[in-house]
Formats: sequence, structure tokens, C-alpha cells
Amino acid sequence: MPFLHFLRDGLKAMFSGGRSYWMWVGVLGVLVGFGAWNYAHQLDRGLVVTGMSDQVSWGLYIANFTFLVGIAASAVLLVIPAYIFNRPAIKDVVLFGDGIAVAAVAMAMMFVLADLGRPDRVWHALPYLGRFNWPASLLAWDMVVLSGYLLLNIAIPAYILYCHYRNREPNLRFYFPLIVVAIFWAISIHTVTAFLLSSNPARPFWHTALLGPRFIASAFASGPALIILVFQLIRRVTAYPVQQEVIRTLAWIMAVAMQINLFFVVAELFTDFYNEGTHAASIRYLFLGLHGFDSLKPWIWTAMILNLIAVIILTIHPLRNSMPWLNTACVAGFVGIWIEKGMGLVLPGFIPTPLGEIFEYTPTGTEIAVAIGIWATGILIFTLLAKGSIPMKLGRLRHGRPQEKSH
Amino acid sequence: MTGNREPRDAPCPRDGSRREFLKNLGVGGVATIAGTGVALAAPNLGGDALADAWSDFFQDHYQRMTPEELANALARIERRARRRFGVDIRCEDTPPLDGVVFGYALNISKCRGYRECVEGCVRENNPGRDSQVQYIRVLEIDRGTMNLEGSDHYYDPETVPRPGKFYLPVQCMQCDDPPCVKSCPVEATWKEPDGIVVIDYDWCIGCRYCMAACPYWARHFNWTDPWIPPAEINPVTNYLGNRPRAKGVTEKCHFCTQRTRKGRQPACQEACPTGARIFGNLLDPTSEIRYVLENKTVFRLKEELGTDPKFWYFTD
Amino acid sequence: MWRLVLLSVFALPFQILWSPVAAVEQNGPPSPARTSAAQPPPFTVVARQDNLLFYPCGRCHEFMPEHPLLVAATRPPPPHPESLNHGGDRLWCQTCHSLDDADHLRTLRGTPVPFDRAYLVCGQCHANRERDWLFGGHGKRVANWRGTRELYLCTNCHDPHDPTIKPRKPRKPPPLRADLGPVAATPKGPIMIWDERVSP
Repeated sequence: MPFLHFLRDGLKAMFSGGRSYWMWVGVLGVLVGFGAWNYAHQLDRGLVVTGMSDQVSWGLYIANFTFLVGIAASAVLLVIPAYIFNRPAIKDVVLFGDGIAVAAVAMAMMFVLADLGRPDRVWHALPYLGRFNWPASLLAWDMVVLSGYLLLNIAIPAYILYCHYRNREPNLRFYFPLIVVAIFWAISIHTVTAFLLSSNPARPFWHTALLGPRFIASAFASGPALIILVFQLIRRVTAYPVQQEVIRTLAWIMAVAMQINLFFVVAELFTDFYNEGTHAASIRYLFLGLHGFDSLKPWIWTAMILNLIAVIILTIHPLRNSMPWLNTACVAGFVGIWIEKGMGLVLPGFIPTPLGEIFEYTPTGTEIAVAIGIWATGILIFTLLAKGSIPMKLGRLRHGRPQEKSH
Repeated sequence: MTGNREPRDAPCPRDGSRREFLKNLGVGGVATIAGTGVALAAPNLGGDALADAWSDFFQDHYQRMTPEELANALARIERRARRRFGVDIRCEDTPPLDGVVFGYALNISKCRGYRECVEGCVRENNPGRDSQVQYIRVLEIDRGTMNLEGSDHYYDPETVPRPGKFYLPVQCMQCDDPPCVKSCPVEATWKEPDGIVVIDYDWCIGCRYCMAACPYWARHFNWTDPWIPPAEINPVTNYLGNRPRAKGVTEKCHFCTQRTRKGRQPACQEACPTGARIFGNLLDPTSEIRYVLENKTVFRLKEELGTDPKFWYFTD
Repeated sequence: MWRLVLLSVFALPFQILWSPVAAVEQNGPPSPARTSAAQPPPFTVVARQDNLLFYPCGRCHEFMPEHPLLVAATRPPPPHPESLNHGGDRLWCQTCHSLDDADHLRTLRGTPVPFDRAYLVCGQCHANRERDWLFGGHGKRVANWRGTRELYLCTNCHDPHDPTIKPRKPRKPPPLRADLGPVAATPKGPIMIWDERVSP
């Protein structure tokens, strides 16, 4: 029974707030509806409403999927210092990391679902009812690790919050094994997503052992960028205290990850271009254009410049420690990596095709609208989770005690 | 599960309970989801269409269907074609032949780039005419190179062959170690005992991972509802072959299972005016294909990727 | 020189015994003497003789005088082909046809060959092609890949008086996905070394 009360009170907290809160939720709701309406259009007419083709058979959806799995994985950057290195300041905010992970995994799953030609048949992937090609298919692996990660990231914070709600100390011995599992699981979700692409010799651009490490590095750069920005928002709009130490730690992690990521990009460029073979056609297309086709060129150079800006800011101590500069670096790094490992990674894998055809891809309005809808859904999920958990975490919401007024 | 099909007459006990489970589930929870699925699959719900759409939704994997379920599925396919195109088709389930593994060889010094094979394939295999699906691509490549990246897929001069060019038709290589089969998350595609890689179009979820995995660009997707002018429909169809497809699923060359499993030549071989295409049973030492493989200098496209294609090229 | 003559004299009875025409009365593999390796599998051919427009040729040639001028003619009047675009200047009508027996082709040695076994004539020069054809590496098998092996004759695909296959318009280029624009450009092939090195 208390658990039902916990859920009821949590939901109540989620759906009570001031005018600005409702405005925010309302805007997100409208965007979600906008995306859903466009998705209905896609269901009706088929994926012909997207810009994808037999030549470029994955586009904006899968690009966002790979990026978001990275964001989800980077929640581990709060979990490790909180529980392995016992940093109390980070332990205080680790729940928000989990919340971001939940939202990111949910978005990643929705992007895959939006990409399916037959979403009515997803049940074919259920073990027992359907036929699940595990362990052969990397996509089957991805489904396993993503849903497992989602469960872990719901279960652990739910347990901790529930303990707070019941005014009990969470039993570390009880949930620490889960934390350890979650840490390895976080690395695995992004490794599996990288392997999903790198396991294809048919696509030389992806077929590199560096893809896994590169994914982890870029995830550990883009994730903290987002978390730093979100924490400042939380600090500003709620009463929840996020200590500066947390942001400093994350900024430091992000600096190192950005540097490593940039180094990996350089390593790829060197290996492909020093003795340029046909396997370098995609990377040439991406960075320099191929046979007069170069629609990704401005994007990737923007990403490179943004990443470089972020690295420079983060590497110089005084700049990193100044909030406006740090925020600039976070925005630059987040957008830069979104381009680099989203569109900049998924699309060139298809260009040129295995038969050497160069055919370009541009997302359609419907595709962009559905993507916006999914992002809005993710942000809404995080908003609700944060709204529900903050009063419990702050001790304002306890079992058998009505919630105190909050703004 | 990429090997032989499970025996039809002895469904494993697990399936029985699974079936029961699905049935119970169908009454309750899944009903709403099914409803959405039905709505997605069949916009026109008159007559037996609704019942068919319902059964389509719960249709099992090809390799797991009982003979009765399969017969019903084939009947539904025929009814669907009747409703959609107003054409009476016959859909069969033609089993693979014993002691047969198919192989294909193509003489590139004979190919002159007429694209007759492409035309013959389209006429035979009922691909949607507006959904970009053609199983064969003929590449025009400069002599003196074998670089696919410089190839022209859309050549359209007054006459072919053009001087200084050669022509390389590419289609599904029916790899013996097919990366597409490995990649499919729901086992909707597999290698049959006769070596043909087939797709259960009714099981495919349309994730297109197989398209990313294929090194030969052999897999194609129904981006839109595949429409065929009724007059152009080939009414002789096969479940794992040329039956009309639905939108949102992947398809590919299947060596014309509806023909070759009955001893006939594939449509592209028949259409080729230059005799460049040689098809046959790799297990028969007197077959034409074996003669070519043993007496000609053959090569396979991208053999280094280790997929062991059963499609060879040669020159003479 | 004498050795050669002697050898031919000895070989003559064997040659007659194993004569290709004699061995291939029914359509089927030629005698073992002609192919060193394995036997080609049995086959039938797509009969063509009865579909020839003026066959039997003897209907006319029976009444034609064997005028020395006609016999020597390299450009016979219609309905015969206008020109012979085969073998350069090395072949003429009577390389493959005989005025004595217009209903048959003839080998170089003068053995009559029915039109439906033209490959025995063609194979005299194109021996490797003939071997490929017999075994299935050249030409085309009709309709099935197993069971009765029916082959197109050389002359089904090649006009013996002008045997090269002619260039023609290809079928239309592949379509693009519905709603997607045309291909912007076709890629340029690689630049070969002779293109680079040619001095202006």
C-alpha cells in the first residue's frame, strides 16, 4: 500500500505547479502533439514521407538514436563518482542523471520505433511470442540492453526515492550490486550501439574498431554538456541545491572526453586519408565532397569548429571555471557532437552505396516534426520525473504527510 | 535458426503453448494494439477484409506455421490480391528441392548492358512500380578499372555497349554466410536448404538493418504501398517469392523461387538476350554452372568480405 | 613430309569411323574422339531448319543450272544475304554451303550437316566456343535448369552472315523512390594513366 501511495503522491507532485510550470508543460505537450500528428501521417502513407531511400536507408531517426544512446550512457558519469568514489555532492544529484538516462533511453526507443516500417509488428521481437534473433543480431542486443538499462534506471532511483518517501535510509547493500550492474550496463549500451554499426564490413565508414571507443568518448563529452546545462536550470527554477563542485567535476570530465574524442577523429582522418582507398570514399564525401556531392560538408565543418571551440574553452582553466564560458562550451560541444555522431556518422555510412552510387539525403518536414515531437516527449518525461522526485528528495514529501507548498 | 526449416508436421510443443498463449492474449490485452495494427494494415475493411486483417496480425512466422495455418495464410494472400488489384492470383508454398543448391554465373564479356534482365525480373516478380524496387542493378564501368564507385547506374545512351565501358549486373548473391540473416532482429530472413536467402514479408518489421548489412545493395524497401497495374501482375506466385508485398517491408532477389523450385530458369536468365547468365545446381557435377566454375576463371564481387556469395562473374 | 602423308593414310579409316557427323546423327554429344575431357551432358536443340524462310533450299536449287559464273559468285542475288560480314575475306558462301546439296550445310571436308546442327560447322573454327556451348558455358539453355536440356543453336542468336550482336538502346534507367528528385549528376570514372600522360 505505501508503494501505491508513493506513486500517487509522486504523480500528484508531477501535476501540480505554478503557472510557468504549466506553461512549460503545455508547450512541450503541444510539440508532442505536433510530432504525433506527423507520425500518424507517416503511419498512413508509409516511410515515403521521409527523405530516406534504398540508397540512404537510415536517416534523421537513427542519427538521433545513436546520439541519444550516448546521452543515456553518460549518466554513469554521475553514478561512478557518487557511489564508487563516494562524493556526497554528486550523490545528491545522481537521481537527475538517472532521470536524464530514462528520458534519453525512452527517446532512443521512440526514434527506433518511428523508423520501423511496420511498428504494428514490434511484438515479433518479443521472445517467446515472436522470434528474437539473439545473440546473432546486434539490433536484438540493442533492444535487450536498452530495455534493461531503462529498467535499471527506473528501479534504482525509484527504490531510493521510495526510501526517502518512507523516511528510511536506502540500504546500500541492497542496491549497490544493481549500481555496479548499471555502470557496466551503461558502457554496454553504447558499445552495443557502436557495434551495431561497426559490425558491418559492407559499410567501410563504420567498419572500424575505433567506433566503439569513439562513441564512448563522444558520449562522455556530450552527456556532461547536457547535464551541466540541465543542473543550472534545476538550480534556477527549483529550490534544489546543486553544488558547484558537481558542475566542476562534470566540466573536467567533459574536457578530457572532448580531447580524446577530437584525437579519435584525427586518428580516423589520418588512417583514411594517408593512403586513400575506396574505403575512404565516405569520409571524403563527408569532409570534402565526392564527385561534386557535398551536402554534409557544411555540417561536419560546423561540428568540427564547435568541437574545437569547446575543447579550447574546456582546456583553459580560467575559462572552464567561468560559467558563461563553460555554458558556451557545453552548447558548442553538445551541438557539435550531435552533428558529428548523428547525421555525420550515420549518413556517410550509406554514401556512396555498396555499389558506388552517390545519392544524397535530406530529411523532410515530416521527419523533422516527428523528431521534434520525440525530443519534446523526452524533455517532458524528464520534467515530470524531476518534478515528482524533487519534493521527495528535499524531504517535503513524505509518506502520510501532505506535500508542502513549493513553487 | 538460419538452417533448415522445422518439420511442418511436427510443431514443437513450445509452439503449442505459445499459440494458446497468443490466443488468450488476443482476447484481452493485445486486442487494442491489434486493432491499431489492423487499422494500419488494411484501410479498407469491408467483407472478409477485417477478419483477414485480424488473422494477418496474429499470423505466425513461416517456419512455425502448421500446414493448416499456412494454407489459411496463402488463401488470405490470394484474397488480398483480389481485393487490392482485382486480379486472381495463385499463391503456393513451394518447398526447396532435395540435393539442390542454386548458383549463378554471369559472363561479363557477354553482358552488353541492355537491362533486359531488369525488365524480365520486374515483369516476373511483382515489385511495386512506384516504390523504387528493382532487384538487379546494371553498372556501367570504365574499362581498365573495377572500381564500383566510378560506375554509372543511370546510363541511358542511344546504344549500348558504349565504347570503353563494360557492364556489371548486380543482384542478391545468395551468400552462404549472409550478413543480412545475421542482422535481422526477428529472424524474418533466413537461408533455405537450397541456398536461397528468403524473407517472410509478413514477419519483417521494417527496421532496415539488413539493408545496412548487405554489401551488395541487394535489399530494397517498400517505402510506399507497392502498386502494380493489374494487367502487369504475374498471377503465379510463391509465399517466399514473388507474391505481392505490403508497404514497410524489405524484399530482395530470391532466384525466382516460384520458377526455379519447379525446375525452371529464373526470369533474368530467360530475359537475357546474350546468354551471359548461367544458372543451375551447384551440387550437380554435370550442370552448366559447375562447368563454368571448374573451367573458367571466375571471381566473386567483394569476396574478401567473407560472405561466400553463390554468384560468380567470369569473362571469356 | 612423307611421314605426314603416311600418317594420314593410316588415320583415314579411323577418321571415317569416328567422323563427327556420323556420331551425331541424333542430336547429342559428339564422339569421344573430339573432346578430350568429359562427355558433355545430352541435349536437344531449338529446331530452326523448318522455320527458315526458303527451306528446303533444294526446291529452287534443284532446277538451277550449275553455271560456272554462279558457282563462283561471291555476291549471290536475293534471297541470299547481301553481304558476308564474317571471317574477313577468308570465308565465302561455299565455305559452309554446298551447291551439290543446298539443303545441308557442309564442313570444310565436304561432309553434309543439317541446319539444326550448325554448331558442327561453326565449331570448326570456334572450337573453344563450341566446347563451352556443349557444356553450358556459352549460349543459352531454354526454359529449365534440369531435365531435358534444350539449347539455342549458334544461329539462333548469331546471324552466321553477320555474327556480332549489334548495339542497341538499353531499357530505361532504374527509377528513384517515389517523391525523390532526379539524380543530380553521374560520377566521373577514374582518370587513367594514359589520360594523364597524353601530351597536348
